[in-house]
Amino acid sequence: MAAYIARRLVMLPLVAFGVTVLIFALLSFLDPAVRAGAFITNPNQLKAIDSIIRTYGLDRPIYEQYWTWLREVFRGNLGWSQTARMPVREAIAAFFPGTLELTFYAFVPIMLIGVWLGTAAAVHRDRLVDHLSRIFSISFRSLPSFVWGLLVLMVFYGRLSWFPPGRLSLDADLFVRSGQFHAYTGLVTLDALLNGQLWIFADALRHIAGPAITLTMVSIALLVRLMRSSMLEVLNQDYVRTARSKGLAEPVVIDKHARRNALIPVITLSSYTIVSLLGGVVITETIFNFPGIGRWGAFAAQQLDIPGVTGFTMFVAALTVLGNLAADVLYVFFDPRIRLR
Amino acid sequence: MAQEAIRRGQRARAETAPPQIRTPAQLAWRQLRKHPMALAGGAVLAVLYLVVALAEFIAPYSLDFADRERFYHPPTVLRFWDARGFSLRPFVYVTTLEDPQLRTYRVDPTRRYYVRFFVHGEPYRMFGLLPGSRHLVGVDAPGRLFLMGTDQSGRDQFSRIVYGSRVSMTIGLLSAMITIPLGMVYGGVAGYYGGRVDNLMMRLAEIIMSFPGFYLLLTLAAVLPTGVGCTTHFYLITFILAFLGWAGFSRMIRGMVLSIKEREFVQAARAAGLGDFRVIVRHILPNTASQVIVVATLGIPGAILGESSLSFFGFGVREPCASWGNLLTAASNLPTLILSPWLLFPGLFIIAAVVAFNIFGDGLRDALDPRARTS
Repeated sequence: MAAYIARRLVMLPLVAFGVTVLIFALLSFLDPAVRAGAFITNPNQLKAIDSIIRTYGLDRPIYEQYWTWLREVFRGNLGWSQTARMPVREAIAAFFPGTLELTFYAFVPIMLIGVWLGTAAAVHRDRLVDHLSRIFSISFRSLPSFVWGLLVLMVFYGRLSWFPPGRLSLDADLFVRSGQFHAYTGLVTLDALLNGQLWIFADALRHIAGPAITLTMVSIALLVRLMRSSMLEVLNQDYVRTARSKGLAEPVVIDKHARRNALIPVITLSSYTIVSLLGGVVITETIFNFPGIGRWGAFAAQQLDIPGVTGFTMFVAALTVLGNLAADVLYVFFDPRIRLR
Repeated sequence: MAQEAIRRGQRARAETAPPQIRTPAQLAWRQLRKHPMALAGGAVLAVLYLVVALAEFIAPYSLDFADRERFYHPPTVLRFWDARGFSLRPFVYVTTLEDPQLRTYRVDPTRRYYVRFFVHGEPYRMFGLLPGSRHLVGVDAPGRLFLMGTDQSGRDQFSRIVYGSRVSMTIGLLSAMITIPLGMVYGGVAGYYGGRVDNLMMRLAEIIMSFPGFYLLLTLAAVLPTGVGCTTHFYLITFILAFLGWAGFSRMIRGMVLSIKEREFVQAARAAGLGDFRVIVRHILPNTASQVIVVATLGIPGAILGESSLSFFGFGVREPCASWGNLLTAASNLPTLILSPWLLFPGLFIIAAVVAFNIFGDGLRDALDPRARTS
């Protein structure tokens, strides 16, 4: 077990190395002038483009540029993000809490609805619930998530004005930035509760609902299907038949005997779900103008903010590796029959 | 005399032999016929690929046709009935722009323009060779047949969807054509040799699998050279999709090869003195075929969605080329979407294709799996 975890942790720097080498390799296809253009904010600076190229060494061989960058990384300096207007490390620290919060508010409904719907579909196999859950999960999966985001925005903001885009309303945002509000964690809803400001909590919740609904819709399909198949498998086992033949009431059999065992693979999948949510927020955050790491990353990619892109890709890659590792470890924890090699 | 006896013997054997021996393909087809859903999915795919092949003929207008006076025109209403009575042949009216702000159009009911099949229209070259000018449906010149409305520069959305099917329906196939041979050989070699080779190769594959997929896709697409034409750009996107896809696939193949290589026929092939590569390619990999087909069918929708998502950020297939994804991005801001909801039509085609691939793939999996077979 320890050896397995150690081996997986060794992958972390390897993945980061692979990703960054790939990005730099592709950079060599870009004209230095195009990259220098990212630093220019007004037309008067156009003349300075040569000096920008020279200052930042954009015309040097790409491996030299990579080496320069790598040396700085080992000193703990990930570079300056032009799009976030702050160092990359600070940008990650500033944007990640928002994404984490959003992931949480999508994860909870995904688990609750997913487990409930998957159980219902398995218990009433080939009946209406089963067919409906299948149709819903297929249709949610078969459109790009930006379309669902737009539809949610259209209905809940355009028509109903319930869930506005962004992270906070103007007055709430001003209050949060003022001295009266102490940011303990960076998670606005949690901070609001810790500060005892219920109106800010409600405001943050209203803003997070739209993207959370979208993420839930897009990601729930996998969980429903897994819960259903796992539940079907458990329902066919001998001990469930024993429980029924003892004369236990059906709800007791389902809730106490079957579901608990059926949850094992689902719990394991849940950490993959978190990883894929963290990775999948990029479109949702962009549509809802939600200031998280995904929106920043997409913007950085569009603006060719290379330090930003490399820094944030490495960060997400690390999250992915750690999340998958956590999933494997959880699996062993919940199901002792499985052994990791 | 002896020959006569042999012939009689053959005839007798033919009569007593089991009535027919079915090839695996026939068996699979027999299974597949029992899945009406899978067949329906297959039929939808067949129609979509027919559209891909005959796009020039099916589209009423060409890819770059633009009627600048009719931007954001709602779908043309097909009428059967007006003040002059009923007509079995549908007809349309000419419209003129009334309010450019609200994009309302005034209908002129003085003259009917009948919708006809096989009308003369803009000339084209079918398959890049055969010249033609007939289009499947159309109306006479001042009338316009915008079956699914127009976009901001007055281009017929239906025609662009039809042409866009070329990109969207082939991007997955093309990336599968790169992913599958690469993943099969890589996974085959890793599984066959096992031990240290396997360990090293799988670690490399795992590294690629741990890449944060969509972010990397975004980054890669962002640094693609901007100067190239949209066709080259399309190939580059396909290549990127394939590059991220092969690793997971090779891992699956490797798992299958690990068990297949222990079987007797592989040992027989080796004992017969065949080289390793030949054993892998000719004897082991064909046994993974059914799984490979299924993975390919289920993987193609992923490529369609991936391209659409890239298009949302402007990194997918570029104008003037059309794909369902980049057509859909015309709907990606809220005011436009509320005023012109028909811009969501490409989404219906994406749903149709993705759902069709999924249920067809599911049916195929059951059909190709001998254990799931019912007689």
